[in-house]
This record gives sequence, structure tokens and C-alpha cells, in this order.
Amino acid sequence: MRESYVVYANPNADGYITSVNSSEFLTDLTGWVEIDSGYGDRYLHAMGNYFPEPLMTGGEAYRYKLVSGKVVECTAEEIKEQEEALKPVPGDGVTADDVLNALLGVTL
Amino acid sequence: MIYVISKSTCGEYGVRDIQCNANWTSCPYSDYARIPDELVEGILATQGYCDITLNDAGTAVESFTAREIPSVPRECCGLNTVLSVNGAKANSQGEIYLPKNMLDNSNFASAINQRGEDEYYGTSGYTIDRWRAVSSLRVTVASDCITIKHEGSANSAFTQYLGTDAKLILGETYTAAIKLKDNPVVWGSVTKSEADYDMAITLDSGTTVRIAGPTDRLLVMVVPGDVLNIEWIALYQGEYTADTLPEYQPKGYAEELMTCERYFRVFRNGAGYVSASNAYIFSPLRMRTTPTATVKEIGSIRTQGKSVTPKSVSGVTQFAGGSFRLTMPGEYGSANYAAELCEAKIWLSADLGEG
Repeated sequence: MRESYVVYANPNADGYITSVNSSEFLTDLTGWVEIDSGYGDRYLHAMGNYFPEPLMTGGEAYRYKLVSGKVVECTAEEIKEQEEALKPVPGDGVTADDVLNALLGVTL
Repeated sequence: MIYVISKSTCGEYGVRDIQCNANWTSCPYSDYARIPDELVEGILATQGYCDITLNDAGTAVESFTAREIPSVPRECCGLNTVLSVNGAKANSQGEIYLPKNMLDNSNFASAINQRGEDEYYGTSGYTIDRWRAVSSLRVTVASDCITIKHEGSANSAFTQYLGTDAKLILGETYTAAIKLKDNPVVWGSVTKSEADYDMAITLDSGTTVRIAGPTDRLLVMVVPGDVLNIEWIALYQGEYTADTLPEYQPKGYAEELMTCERYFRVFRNGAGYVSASNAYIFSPLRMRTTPTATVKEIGSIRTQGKSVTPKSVSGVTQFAGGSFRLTMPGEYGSANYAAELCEAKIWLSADLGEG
């Protein structure tokens, strides 16, 4: 009987899924949680094919999380919260605009 | 000289040289020079006629028999449908399937080997491009062949999953041929029936080749202790004899490499941008499906005048236009700066598996 491919998710400390892979390619399962199994590209090449959307939004918010071992899609509010938390605080460091202005001789 | 088969006003079929007399007059054919019987027979044979009898003068066809070709019109003037090429049969529509090797990377004297190892052994996995070994199979890449050796106790196999445009067709016959080093070519044929999960072809050499469906694989079965030095292997649609078996034609290294790179490639450098915690590296390459990235050497991300070692490749995203993007977590400082991945060795696999 042929064996199916096991899909694993790698959650961070908050449970957000940061990566997906399959039993075909993983050699060390430390930190990986089994979430599904099956045949075909969706399971074999789970990294880029298991979920219909990329794991992160353009604002680098995670779209999926593990809740009690089950995959749950983050709500729009959760995504917005994540993206807000990732925005740089003014004064935290030199931004790209700061560098550009410096090059142009603009005094802040 | 151009010869045509024509029917005269006398009602007789004849062969005429059209340069001799553009107008067909009448019998007898005294205006026409004798042409070799073999030439006439050859022309008529290609036009679907057989059992040809010429008159004593060799200037007319006294009798002939037309081959039975369902749905293919037989005409006395002009060319009929060619019946066969190298033994490939015409189907009911008079169409001919020219023999095409259904396998990729089949010329082991010049094998595509992007993984770059001289020898593959251990747990099941891909070896040279497109070929997967089941455990206990040692695959050695030589300059003129590959050697597969079974070092375990159970049956093993050297396998290629057939591409999406090479699916097996119910009711069709397939022929597998293998050339082992210092041996003549051996081959066998089998017809795919619905009940068969796999079809076994036992070659004269004792080697068993299996064509398996519905997962559509070709497996070279290897029993314990077997050592096979394989120069090439082919799979054709159709049934062939010793006289009609197609001569093996390597596709050529460039074409094979281009095909293999749809399934596997090594990614070493690319450009993109960084955020504070991720590098996004883009590539215009197109593969069979969104590939899985496996890091062999992580390389470095050059950005903002510094070199940062990424932590991993956490994801691959393929875009509609065919390009794709690697996501590489790390600590990159400020966001929206240009970045370049350098000196990495990342395996990108879109290889086929159990469907």
C-alpha cells in the first residue's frame, strides 16, 4: 500500500504558522506539528501548495494559526492587529526616507 | 523523373512519366519508356497498394491489390495516406503516432544530474534528474552508463513518474526497451487494461520493467543482488518487433536539461528586498508547480552595506506570470532596502510523486 505524504506546520510562540512542509522533505521534525496527509502536489509540495494564500500578507501578518492542533484562518481584525504591531515606531531608527533625504541634502 | 499513377481513357491503370507526355493520349503506351519494376512497386506500395503485377513491357500496371484501410480513401491519382512508419500503426482516422520516447533523462551516457552526486544510496529519494530510487538501491553515475545495485533484502526499484503529458491510455499497448552495457537491446510490450494497477514486462535479460497506473510510473524492478549497467531506457506507445523497434534517439543534453529544470533546479543567487525580519528573493524561473525549497547552503543576504546570514527558507510563492519568490527570515535591520542572495545552494523540487 503506498504511503501518503504528511503535512507539517511550524508555529511560532503565538501559534501563528510560519512555515509548512511535508514528510518527503523534512528530516528533523523538531518544532513541526502534523496537520494533514494525502497524495498529490498539495501534500507532497506543501510548502507552496497546501494553503490557497501565502502564509503572510503584504504587511507580514500571518494568515493561519494553530488552535488546539487545528489550522484556523486569522480574521481580518487579527491580521490588522498584527500589521499594526509590525509598523515601525517613529524615531526608532533610520528609515529609507531618512537616507534619501540625507542624500538630497534635506535638513529634517 | 516524376511518375504518377493514372487511368487512361482505355480504362487501364498505368505509370507515366509526366515529363514525357503531359497529355494522356490512348493505348498503347508506346510513348512511355520502361521504368524499373522496383520503382513502380515502391511508388505504389507507399500509396497503399500491394501485390502489384506489371505487364511484360513494364509500362503499365496489369493488376494490383489495394490494402484494406478503414476510412482511408484509395485514389489512383496522387498520394494516399501513408500506412505506417517504422511499424507504428495508423489508427481508424488514418493518423500515425510516430514513436516518441515517453521518458525524460533516458540517455544515461549523458545523464542530467543537477544534484551533483556521483553516487546515491540510503533512504528513498531522487537521484539523477527525474529518476527516484527506492531504499537499498545504490545508484552510481558513470561516464557511459548508470549502475543500479540492489543491496537490500526486498525488491527495490528505479522509478520515473511519467509527466502530465505522458499519461497511459486505457487499451493502448506500450513497449519498454532497455540497453544494458555490453548487451543487445531488449524490449517487451504490454497492453494497459483497466484492471491493471501495473503491467510487468519481463525482458529477455531477466530484468522486469513495470509500467504502473493509475499513478503512471515506470519502474525498473531490481531484485536483491542485481547489478544493472544501463546505457539507456525507452518507453514507446505501440507494439514493435525486432524489425520495427525504433532506433533510440537521445533528445540531446540541452533539451533534456530544459525539461528536467521544470522538475528540479539548484538556486544559488537572486535579488529582491528586505523587511526588518524577512528577505524576499525573486526569480523569473518557471517550474512545473510551486517548488519545495530545501537548504543545502544558506548563503548570505547582502543589504544596506552588510552581510546577513538568513535563518531559513520559510516559504515559496509562485506568481501567475511564472516567477517565484523565496521568503527567508532573518535580522536585516531596516525595511524596504534592496537585497541580494549570494552563494546559496537551495534545492528547488517540483518533482512528481504519488498522485
